[in-house]
Amino acid sequence: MTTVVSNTRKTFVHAWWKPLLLIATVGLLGLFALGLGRDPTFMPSALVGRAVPDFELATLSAAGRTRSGDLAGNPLIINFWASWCGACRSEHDTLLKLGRELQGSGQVRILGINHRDTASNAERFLSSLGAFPYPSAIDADGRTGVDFGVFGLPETFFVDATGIVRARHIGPLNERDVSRYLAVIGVER
Amino acid sequence: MRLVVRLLVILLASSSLLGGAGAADGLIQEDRAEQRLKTIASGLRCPVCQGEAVYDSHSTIANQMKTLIREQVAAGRTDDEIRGFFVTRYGAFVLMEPAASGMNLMIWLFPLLALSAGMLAILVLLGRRRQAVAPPATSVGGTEEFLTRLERLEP
Repeated sequence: MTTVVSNTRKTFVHAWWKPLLLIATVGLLGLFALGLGRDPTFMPSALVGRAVPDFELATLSAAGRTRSGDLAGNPLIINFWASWCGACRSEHDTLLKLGRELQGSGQVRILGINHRDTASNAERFLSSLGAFPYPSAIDADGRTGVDFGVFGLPETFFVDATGIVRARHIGPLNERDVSRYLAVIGVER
Repeated sequence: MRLVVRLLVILLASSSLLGGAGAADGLIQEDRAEQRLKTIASGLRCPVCQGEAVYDSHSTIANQMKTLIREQVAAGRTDDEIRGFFVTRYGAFVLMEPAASGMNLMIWLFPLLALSAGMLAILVLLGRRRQAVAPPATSVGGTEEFLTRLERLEP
């Protein structure tokens, strides 16, 4: 009886070891190719699909405070920027254009968050490149940035009217990105 | 007067001793807090570095994360609560070791599975080789036949 079992096992291994080895090799190569194709700097966002974090910050170049609660009820774009951030300069024109186009429409609100910066440097940055047509809040110690999971600037969050973060963009924004994200939070241009 | 001076000396000496003990206590507590910082920060990935722990990195974000860990340790939060704080903000990516649950369980189980499969393959191959080597030893008849043929060759 035992010889029969061992014989079947032997024939099974004998017949299948080549296809099995081939499958394993192809599988490993596939995983390797997948790993090579991935961006090692890509970081999945924990915030997408969740409510926008609460914050209360001083407002740049204006009196009063900026509260997350006051911004609820409308789609919202939150852009983290700083005067020391080189990549922020390359998205500045896109933001100026977006601000001029959307700020008056009442469809969407835009808020800048000046991250780990000084108010004087931020104001100098805006006076040389053009002031945003929307307010900016001051996150000098970067604590609000941590709540958003921000780790590099610029970063932009797109929040829908119910206060849920629908998209996060890391790096400078361009026109095409903006159109794509606006559609996600239900804003028509 | 002398008595008063003596009493003062005794009072001063004892207070300085107590003060010393208090300072040592503080040092031990600080040490413990630093130890916890090391444990937690070594298990968290610095978001802007490549495969470096928060504890080993001197980037702005890693330093800020260390400050936040210190604050939360001082506030009496547990290690798991502090790790959870960063996971809700930066995602499970922030953990140096992925949690052994869900799809991540595969990462932990796959090496074990591969190792057992390899060992099984070696055992099967060794078994087969032994079987292949064994028959000639039993074929005594072959040797005898060879010997008879050899004898027949003699004149």
